[in-house]
Amino acid sequence: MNTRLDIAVIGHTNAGKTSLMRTLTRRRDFGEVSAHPATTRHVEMAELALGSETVLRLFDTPGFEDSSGLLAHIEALKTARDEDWIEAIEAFVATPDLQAGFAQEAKALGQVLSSAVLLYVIDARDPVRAKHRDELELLGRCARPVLPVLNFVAPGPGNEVGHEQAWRQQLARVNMHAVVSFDTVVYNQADELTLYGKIATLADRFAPILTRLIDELTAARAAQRRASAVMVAELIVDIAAARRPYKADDEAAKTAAAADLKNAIRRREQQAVTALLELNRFGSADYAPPELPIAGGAWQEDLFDPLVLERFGFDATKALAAGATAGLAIDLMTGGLTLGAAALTGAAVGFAIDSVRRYGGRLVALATGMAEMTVDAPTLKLVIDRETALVSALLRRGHGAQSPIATAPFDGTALQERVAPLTHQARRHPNWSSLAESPRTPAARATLVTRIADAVESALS
Amino acid sequence: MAMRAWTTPSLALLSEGRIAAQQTQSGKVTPARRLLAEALRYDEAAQGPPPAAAESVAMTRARAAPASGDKTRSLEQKIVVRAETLADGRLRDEIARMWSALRAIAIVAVVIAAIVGAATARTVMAGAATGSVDGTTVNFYWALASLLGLHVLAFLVWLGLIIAMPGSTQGGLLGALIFWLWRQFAGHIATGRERAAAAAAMVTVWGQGRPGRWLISMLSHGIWTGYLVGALLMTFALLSAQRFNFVWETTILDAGAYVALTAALAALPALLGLAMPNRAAVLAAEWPGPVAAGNEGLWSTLLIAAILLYGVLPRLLAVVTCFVLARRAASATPLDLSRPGFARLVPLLSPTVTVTKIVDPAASAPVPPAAAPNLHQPPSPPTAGPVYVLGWEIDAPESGWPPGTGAEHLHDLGLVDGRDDLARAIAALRQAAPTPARVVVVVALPQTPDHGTTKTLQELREASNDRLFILFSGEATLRRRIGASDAEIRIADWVSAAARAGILPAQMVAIDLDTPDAAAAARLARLVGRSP
Repeated sequence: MNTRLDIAVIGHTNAGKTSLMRTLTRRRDFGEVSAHPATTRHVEMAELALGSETVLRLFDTPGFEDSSGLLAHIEALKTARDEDWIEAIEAFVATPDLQAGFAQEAKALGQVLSSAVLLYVIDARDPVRAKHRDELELLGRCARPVLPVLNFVAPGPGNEVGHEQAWRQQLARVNMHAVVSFDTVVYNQADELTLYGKIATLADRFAPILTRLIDELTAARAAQRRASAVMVAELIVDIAAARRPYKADDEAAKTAAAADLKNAIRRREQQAVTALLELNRFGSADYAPPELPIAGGAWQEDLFDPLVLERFGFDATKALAAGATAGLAIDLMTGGLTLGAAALTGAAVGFAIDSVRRYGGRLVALATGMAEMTVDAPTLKLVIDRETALVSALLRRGHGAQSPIATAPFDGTALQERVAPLTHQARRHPNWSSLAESPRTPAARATLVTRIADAVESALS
Repeated sequence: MAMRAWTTPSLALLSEGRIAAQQTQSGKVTPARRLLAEALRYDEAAQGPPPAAAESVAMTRARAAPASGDKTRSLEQKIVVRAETLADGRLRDEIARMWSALRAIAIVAVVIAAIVGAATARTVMAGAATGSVDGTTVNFYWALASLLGLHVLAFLVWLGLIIAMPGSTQGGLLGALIFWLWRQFAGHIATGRERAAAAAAMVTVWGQGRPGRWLISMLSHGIWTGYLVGALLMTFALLSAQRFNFVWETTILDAGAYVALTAALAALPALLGLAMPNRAAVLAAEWPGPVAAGNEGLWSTLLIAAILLYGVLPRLLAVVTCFVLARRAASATPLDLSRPGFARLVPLLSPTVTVTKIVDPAASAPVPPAAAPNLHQPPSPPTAGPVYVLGWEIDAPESGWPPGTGAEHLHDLGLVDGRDDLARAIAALRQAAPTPARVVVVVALPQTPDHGTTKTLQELREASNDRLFILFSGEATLRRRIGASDAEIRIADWVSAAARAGILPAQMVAIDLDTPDAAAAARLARLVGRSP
């Protein structure tokens, strides 16, 4: 039994067919997209597999250019050859001599005839025109189930009004009652699942594979969210725990330590941004410098710039790296709490050894004139906020999107409340940071990462 | 003998890294294969992803791995296959070296424990621990408690922890010490990148969670086994080479308690057919008193049997059990695919586009658009006569329809959409008398010009006797919608479409009818021949 579903993606020229392909396949590099009409001039296929089995094939087609002319042409063929519609369309597709300047449309119609389901892509920013009505009439003659896909439905600049309602009315008038809104730029998984769900109702013999595909997509999405949150949590722990020692009375050493720490943190953040982009299957090519907080995959704004801190609502006056004294005070305070908790669980001996080593060592270091540079709280908060904002933006971005990534305003108050106490724990373990000289990954670190990731994940919209 | 028995299963476990090195075929995902995948993950985290070419080969192999079991399992399998393709010999060697290090430390610890056990036995048998008795007279129960007491206590604590805290990773102090020693060792020798990755992977796969608990427990039991075997051998040697009198003494207990204790201890050895001290023998061994000779053999058997049956054997059993449980736990613990290094691979390996190809290539290359003329120049005024205006595929602009109201001789052909409308408009133009001095066709730049547009413009141009002007409206909306650079492309496309329809650059003008500024209004006035 053939359970592979072939779907042709069709529509008027420049309606966003290739963008739809990109978003459905999560491939930014699929085909070619531009503002020009007729950018796609060939039929291009993408296979979707579940495990090792190809279940879905999507065909990107050239757009319709002169739909009214095409309809008139085929109608004339039909009359001249005394055939019915589908016979006339088949003859038109099969015979180049009959194509009379409609070669591009013939390619698209050829794919229509060999597909089980059609996705008719509509640019909902445009009103319904006669050419669209003619296209719908022609598609209605092709004897294939058609699912209209309203693209560009999300309001945006130059698209304040939209014509979604007009389109829905027009489609209902030609008996296309199953319609989906699917914005290829502003991604919404519910819409994607609806799309496959409606295909399943239009072609019910493919319902089992579509159900499996929907399950798979849901699971993949959840995994992607989780993994993104874990990446952010790893970054937070690495940065919070990072320390650089320096000789307390040596200004030059202090400056060098601060610069070293800043560089290490910048590199680590950059690494996280690259990894997040890659995980969500975007790339540094998604960035154009002018409008962005990130450029070429890098945060354009300097992390330590007080203005950046201000933009995210943090107190700029505190934006100086905290010295060792403050760090020690926090350590002793929270360390005391931990000692209490540890004694209760009967692990007091183990803790004592640990704390002598840790605090003893630091006290010795202080006595011998060594101090440590750590990242300050506002910077840490900024990282937490903007990485979470970036993940939110990536999760809402369709792979058909062309414009650079812009992070939406992000209210991280609730997130900060949950994460701030957790970062204190990281601060007490310098070797939990991957930026440390000999990093360690004990189970307690993994637990902390999990808890921070939980907080980040719940803050994602 | 007992020593061998301990080392055999654990050596098998500890040498798994080496087995994995030879095992690159897909199949069941074993802990060793996971270990390699984890090590590669840490390695990649340190040095970045592999070269694109190698990555692509590995991904192809991974995708081709037969899917077994559920989705997570098959994903894990793919990730493992990818790691096996990418991991070089050095990484595998380092993993093997990490196992060797752990094994060496464990063996050294067991040997030390055996020596400590032997020394303890010697001290105990020398009578030092019995206090009141001379060099050859040994307080039997005191000696037994000295040899086995700590072991029994530690064993009970371990058992209690395992039962009371099933989720804990606590596996015994001694095992934790070994693992800690190994980590210190690994930390100090782990200078190379691969070695650090191997050490970190070991901790992840074997050092935490349930596998870690059982592995550490196994190490603990192993060390105790060494201690007890050492004590057993020394005791046996001393009993073989020296003569001891076994006695017991008490201040507050009565003889009945010792008779009962002896009977309890002797029950298990007696089952094995060994001759044990009976009631008479116990009563005859009270110190001080006339200790009856002739029972030393029975007491010696009881001592040896007690160390063996209550010491060595339970510990050995625990080693084997923990070995089995550690393996089972490690087999049942899948890779944590939410770890960033793996998470990155999940979308690349799970249901995704496997092939994209061009199935019906384009016959010709796209036509490059012509360079845009200056559309913001004032148009030439029309010659005397009527000016016709029509909108093609547009909605009424915000400034109202028709544009240029107030001009003399302005004829409105309305908003034209579709072939029927167009035919009517063309007929009106052809029948117009006097013939139109100018025909202004308004189009919307946000729309995409297509072949249909070109054809329409051509027909209108012919109907107007080449007196057609094209008015591009909606530039502001276009710019906001697709951005400045794409807007330029779109405008150029419109100019090309108009040029293909035979319209001269001088007959093209951009006037935003939605939001006309003063200059645009002036252009419009000139276009329709209205006095300003």
